[in-house]
Amino acid sequence: MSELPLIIDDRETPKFWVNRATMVEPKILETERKSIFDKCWLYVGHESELENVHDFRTRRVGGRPVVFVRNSVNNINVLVNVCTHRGMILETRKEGNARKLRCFYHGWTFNTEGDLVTLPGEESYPKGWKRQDRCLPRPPHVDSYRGFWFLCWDKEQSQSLKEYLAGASDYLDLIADQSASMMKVSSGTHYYSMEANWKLLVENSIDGYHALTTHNRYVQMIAASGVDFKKRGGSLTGQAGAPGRGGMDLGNGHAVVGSPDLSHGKIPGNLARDFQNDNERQEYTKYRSELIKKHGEKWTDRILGGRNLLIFPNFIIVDGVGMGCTLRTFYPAKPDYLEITGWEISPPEISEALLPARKTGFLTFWGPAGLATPDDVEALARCQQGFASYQIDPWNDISRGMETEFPGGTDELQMRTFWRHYNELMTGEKAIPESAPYKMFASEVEAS
Amino acid sequence: MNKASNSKRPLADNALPQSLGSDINLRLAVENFLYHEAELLDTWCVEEWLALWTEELSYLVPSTDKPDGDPRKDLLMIQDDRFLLHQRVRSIVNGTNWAENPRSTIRRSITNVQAKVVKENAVEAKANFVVYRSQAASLNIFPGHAEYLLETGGPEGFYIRMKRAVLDLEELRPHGRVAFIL
Repeated sequence: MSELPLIIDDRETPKFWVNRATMVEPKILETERKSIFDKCWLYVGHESELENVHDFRTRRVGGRPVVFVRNSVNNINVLVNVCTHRGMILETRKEGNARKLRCFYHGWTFNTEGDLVTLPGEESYPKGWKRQDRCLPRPPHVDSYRGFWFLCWDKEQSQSLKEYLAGASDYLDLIADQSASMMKVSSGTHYYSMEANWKLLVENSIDGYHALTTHNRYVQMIAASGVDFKKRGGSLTGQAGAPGRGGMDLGNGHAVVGSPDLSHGKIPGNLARDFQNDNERQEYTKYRSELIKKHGEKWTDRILGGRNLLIFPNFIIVDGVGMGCTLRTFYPAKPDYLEITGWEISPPEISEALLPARKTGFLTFWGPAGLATPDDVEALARCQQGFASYQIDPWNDISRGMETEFPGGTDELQMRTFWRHYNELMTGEKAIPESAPYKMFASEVEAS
Repeated sequence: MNKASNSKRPLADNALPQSLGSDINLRLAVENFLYHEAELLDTWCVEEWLALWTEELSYLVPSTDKPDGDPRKDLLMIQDDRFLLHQRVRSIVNGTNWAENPRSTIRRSITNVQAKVVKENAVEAKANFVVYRSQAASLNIFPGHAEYLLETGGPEGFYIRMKRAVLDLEELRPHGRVAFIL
């Protein structure tokens, strides 16, 4: 392993540098699997993906195959999707509805509670052998917050999910509160990949600085649609930070870059096209006033602001509000290759008039064929190629906004937050936060 | 026999039974059109390609796990109208589509063409495709089929009103992206 530190967190100069060896060396990835992915709470899926009893989704979480399933009495289970007999994958479909999980190898069959319910020739097993001992294993910890389900593979994990989420739970509230019932994940999933280290996608997903250059064609599209960014307060080009606005450390390595809706409902999102017609505008105003009735204007402006949220280590929510909201998780197969899954989540009550803007808004930016994500895929792959020279110049620079009291959208506090926590888990060196503890509202910041 | 199949006659069909002749002529006309489209895309003549479309248009690529995805409610990968398709094309031309700058080499084969007249001046067509995309040392293969709604007319015989390109991939891995036009 590299002799150099993983990060240089120099508060005097100040500067913040990240060692490129973390992106390249296989031994570092091995340590990450043990010290991060096997220790942290990891995102599994959203409750709305399992509408009916016995609905299931299969996926890998922290590299391990699981089945996310609603059992016969309407409870959600996360089971290891592997036969206890000889280790064959049980359910290979990505989604479906099944009362039983049957292994075709020798016919062992489990129910959606994970019990081994039938097997051929049970009488030939010795006397002391019990079916009950051969149930499907479960992750040691499974819990949910407002419809978002997580697991933790570490038996010793002492933090509850709520404690682990720290300030990030406020931001999950801002997503969940967009619906009076339950936010809904759409059918259709983006399964794609990058020839890059997974931490590059963490950085990229909460990086406001690259928007104008990497996503130049997206910006051109928005301009061609008639949006004048100057009239939007230059939000895309890097709004200054303020209490509750800009980049924020949410605790435990979680971070966000975002802002309340400073337009108070006049635009459907900082990065979105304008309303296409009066009907859209009216329906959006109606939706907003319903939210105000329930949550008040201050919280509603919070809800309808945009945000890029990182829940450490690998769960991202990029919420463009009127242009849609994406959930994204990923896992490294190799130091230079990661597999990504992206979903769309929206309030099911949203008016039909707002759907086209939401659908096309989502797809113009996100997903492997949008007008933005493919450029991230390309940019990160080229960084990874560049890291072949990491022994010559080992340092990535993430110092933007280090002397700023309230770092803005194009500063990099949110990335330093990730890296400090990363370094703490990898090396045991205690992270010292750069900013005061996160508070949701300006008034709370001023009062403290 | 219908008007659409008469609009282009690559073969003299008077040697064939009339019904068979019209089917073959229609298919040949559609094949010619799809080959022309394929050549424009493979040679990156994307602005000429855009001229093949009707004013109102829909270019769709469903998510790999939802090939029958409904653009009104499901998550697709692409659902462009004229404005967005124009922007997509523009970004290829002006070089801000970084994933295709420098441009990759793409080559597609179009086969199993089927066509039927659905109403006057409107033809439904279907074809299989395989697109090979190579860039530096990597080669990615994009197999699939495309469904078209065509309108008769124009210098090439048809205009495209709707194209839905469905990939035969369960995941876009290791491809990672579709930044050229399928």
